[in-house]
Amino acid sequence: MKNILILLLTLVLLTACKTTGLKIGNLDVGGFIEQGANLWNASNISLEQEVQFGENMSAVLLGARSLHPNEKLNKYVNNVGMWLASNSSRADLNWHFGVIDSDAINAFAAPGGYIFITSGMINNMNSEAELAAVLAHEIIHVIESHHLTAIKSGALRGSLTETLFLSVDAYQANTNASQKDREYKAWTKKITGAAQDLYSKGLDRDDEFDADKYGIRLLAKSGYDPFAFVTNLQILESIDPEDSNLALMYKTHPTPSERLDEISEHLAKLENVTGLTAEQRFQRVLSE
Amino acid sequence: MKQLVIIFSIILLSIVTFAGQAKPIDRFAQVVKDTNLVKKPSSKADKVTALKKDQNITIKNRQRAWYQVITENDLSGWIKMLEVRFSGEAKREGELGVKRVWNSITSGRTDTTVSTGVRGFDEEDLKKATAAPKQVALLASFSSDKKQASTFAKQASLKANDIIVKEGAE
Repeated sequence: MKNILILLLTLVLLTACKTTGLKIGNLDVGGFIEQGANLWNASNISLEQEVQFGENMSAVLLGARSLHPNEKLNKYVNNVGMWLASNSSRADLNWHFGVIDSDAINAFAAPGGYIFITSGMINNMNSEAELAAVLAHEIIHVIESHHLTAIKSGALRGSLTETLFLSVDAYQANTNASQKDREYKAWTKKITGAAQDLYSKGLDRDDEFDADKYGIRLLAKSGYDPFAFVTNLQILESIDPEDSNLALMYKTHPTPSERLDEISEHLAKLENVTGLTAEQRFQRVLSE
Repeated sequence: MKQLVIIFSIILLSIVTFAGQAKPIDRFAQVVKDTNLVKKPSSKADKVTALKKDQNITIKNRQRAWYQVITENDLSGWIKMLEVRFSGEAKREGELGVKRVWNSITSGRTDTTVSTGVRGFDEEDLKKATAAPKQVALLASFSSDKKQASTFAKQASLKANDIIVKEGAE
């Protein structure tokens, strides 16, 4: 069965290559296709490919809603995120954090170190530790390669094409000039389709619980009050689930009540950990 | 001169007092199961009173995994944070969130900085999206690095400790 799947994937990749007129590019698409079978194993995707995949997904997310215009807020979120990331097992990744200008309550991660949180979600928080809790959850998704696992899963398998790992420039460089416009559309269509799949179907439920379990520890490791993670989920739990701003998050995540139940067993180890909420700095940045 | 010193002292004192104050949470909540209200944030602490499931309480503060609460009978004590559920805040599309109004009343904070009244973010938005490479470039311009993040942490007295995030992964 596995061999048949491998064969099918190789065929899909070769067909995609032919129809788009792609040659072996500077990211070695040819080599990619030869390794087609290995795509099923996330560990075989190079760092460069992982980052490009994340950059492409980020371009679609930010194409749906732009970054919040408050530069200071974006830089503040980058500092909080980078401090957490520098205490993680992938401290050397080129991390990017952004505030998406939307009333929706949600946060997203993309491979290679891309993390987003909506301004609507920040509006429901009271401290830096609560902000850090959400970023820590998303950082774990990146560290554990949850998106790469999802894209390889049955439901999203159709989205796995070599285009995801190519920049638009690399894609266009391998097409005839006269075809550029058409090929750009082909590129954007493929990456948008994959982003739509990833962010509207969501990750595996167990991966969400793992992101909570290890996220709360990363929060504590970074000197923040780990129980801000719980407060955060309790705030989410208190918002009417019919609230349209929660629709996408509820579709892609277990409910906050389920997450609180699941996290309760991991709290005992952290019971005596002291940490800071950095509430005043958070309030100051938000009121500026 | 003496007056100047007094004025200066008052200003300084008010700044120090403000900086030392933690904003109270003051949040309405319900008890999720029958439990005890205790005198201190500890399982071994003496009981103040018994609390019933669904009983209304007001959360005043938090210490680690415990909330300090007040009952409707004005009894004060501590309860484990997982034994409460915050009261709901109904909000439909187009409505101004109750919380936002509440925040501006309790903290004097307005959310103008963080909200520009942009709509939600749903599946339809993803379907209609066109990749925006310029936004990705703008995102990169906001990045921090390990050195900056370390300085940022020190400014708030944040210190990393030796908690293991995932066994065998570090």
